[in-house]
Amino acid sequence: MREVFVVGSGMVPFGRYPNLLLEDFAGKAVLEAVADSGVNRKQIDMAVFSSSNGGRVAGQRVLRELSLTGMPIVNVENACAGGGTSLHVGWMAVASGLHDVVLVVGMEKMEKGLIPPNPGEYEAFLGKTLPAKYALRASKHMQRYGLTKEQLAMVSVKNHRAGALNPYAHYQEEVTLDQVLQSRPVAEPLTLLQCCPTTDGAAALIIVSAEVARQLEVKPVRIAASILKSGIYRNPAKGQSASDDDLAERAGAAAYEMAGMAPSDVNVAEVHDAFTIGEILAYENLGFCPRGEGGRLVEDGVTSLGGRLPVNPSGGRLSLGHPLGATGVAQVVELSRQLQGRSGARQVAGAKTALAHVQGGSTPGIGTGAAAVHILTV
Amino acid sequence: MSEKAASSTRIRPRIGRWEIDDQGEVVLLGTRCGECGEVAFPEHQICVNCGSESTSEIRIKGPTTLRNYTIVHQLPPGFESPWVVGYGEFDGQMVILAPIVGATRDELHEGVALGLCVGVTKVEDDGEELHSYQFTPLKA
Ligand SMILES: [Zn+2]
Repeated sequence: MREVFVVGSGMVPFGRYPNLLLEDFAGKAVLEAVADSGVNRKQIDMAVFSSSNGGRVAGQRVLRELSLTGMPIVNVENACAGGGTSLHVGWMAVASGLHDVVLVVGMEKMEKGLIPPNPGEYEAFLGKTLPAKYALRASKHMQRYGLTKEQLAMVSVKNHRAGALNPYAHYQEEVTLDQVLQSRPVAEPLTLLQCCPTTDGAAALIIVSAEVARQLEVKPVRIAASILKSGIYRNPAKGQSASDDDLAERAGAAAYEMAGMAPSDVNVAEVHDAFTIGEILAYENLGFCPRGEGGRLVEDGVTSLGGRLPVNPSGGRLSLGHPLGATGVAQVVELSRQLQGRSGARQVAGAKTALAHVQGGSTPGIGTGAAAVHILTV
Repeated sequence: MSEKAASSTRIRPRIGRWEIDDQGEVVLLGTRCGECGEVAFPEHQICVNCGSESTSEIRIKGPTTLRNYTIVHQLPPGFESPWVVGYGEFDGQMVILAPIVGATRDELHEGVALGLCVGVTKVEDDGEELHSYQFTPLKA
């Protein structure tokens, strides 16, 4: 396999675009990524798009506006993991030698309120909303390991503090621990400020072979690992770990193996904090701390900007926002810029290695549908 | 189920089958794998655990042991709010998610035994009542 490099990144500010089509704003992220990389946009020989609500041939509709036509264009749907999935598909295309310059785009326009379940999701039919799914994971963790409500809320406080420094973030305002705890309950113990808002957005990357990267003037970011996994059946009644945790653990372990690295090598990470508990569990599943100690990790400030391992310096899903299909790409926009030293007030000093983790989509009985983990290095 | 529910053309997810036995007890109808023994509810004709096609029906009765639960406040139309859902464990064999009805906060904690019942879980906007299995505190 060939080495693959991120050489360009682009993004539109995340927020609400009620009066715009995807075609109106996603192209801006593409043009920014192209300009950032220095490639001629006619060099792009494949494009991979991710969205869950974008409709048919969404990528073709966006690229038509930019007069980019004729190349293979793949449209990916993998719920919250769609963006990471599209990067994985693009990575495969370059790593395999089939393509040299691939455009990867995540984009989404969201409907307000709860994400409606698929018609076949029987647990949702019984009242297990998406926040309830995460609330159940939180209640289990509180029982078993003593995670506190305050520790959960601290994830939101931390991520909003980072988001307040990010001009791309949907909510650029700090929140206090009290505000998080006192906001209205959505599914106990999760309150409103522990759930991602409704956000539209688009993000884009240019990924290339080593040969192409050498011809450009930018600082290339190497994709040291690109892993995609899906959930498998687990039975917690028999002491097996929950399928959601098992999935992230397997994806993380495979990524560390591919990169030849360990969790301790990671300097900065973006993990899936659609709900606060998601970030706590990600710490544990990705090996940032032992099982059961995720609450203490955030409480001790280890994962804050300025801590030993800053997590979600973009503001995360909670503050940057979570346009489903865009998220995994936006994470790598943030992390590649961190590794290039371009992150301004949010810069993690001296960061050399970064990890991006997304997971999502519910499949009854086998938990989360997909997880993608990428490790980036300079 | 009501006549109305039976005549509905609405597509519903397969939440699993149940029946009421001679003693009036709710019995969930799942499957057990002939190869690995894994129990599944709702039923799976192909074993969720090992992929074997040799599965047969198994009858699952309460009580169940509550593992964890959440009180849900933001719900789609048709649910009563707040609405409680939780995972019940059956004899160390399997866990099933169900709504929990008729319980006070004090009655809800890990390890408590809950019985099975059937009740209205959701009311559609045309008034059609959708029933399901539910968990409820055991009567003393
Ligand atoms: Zn089996």
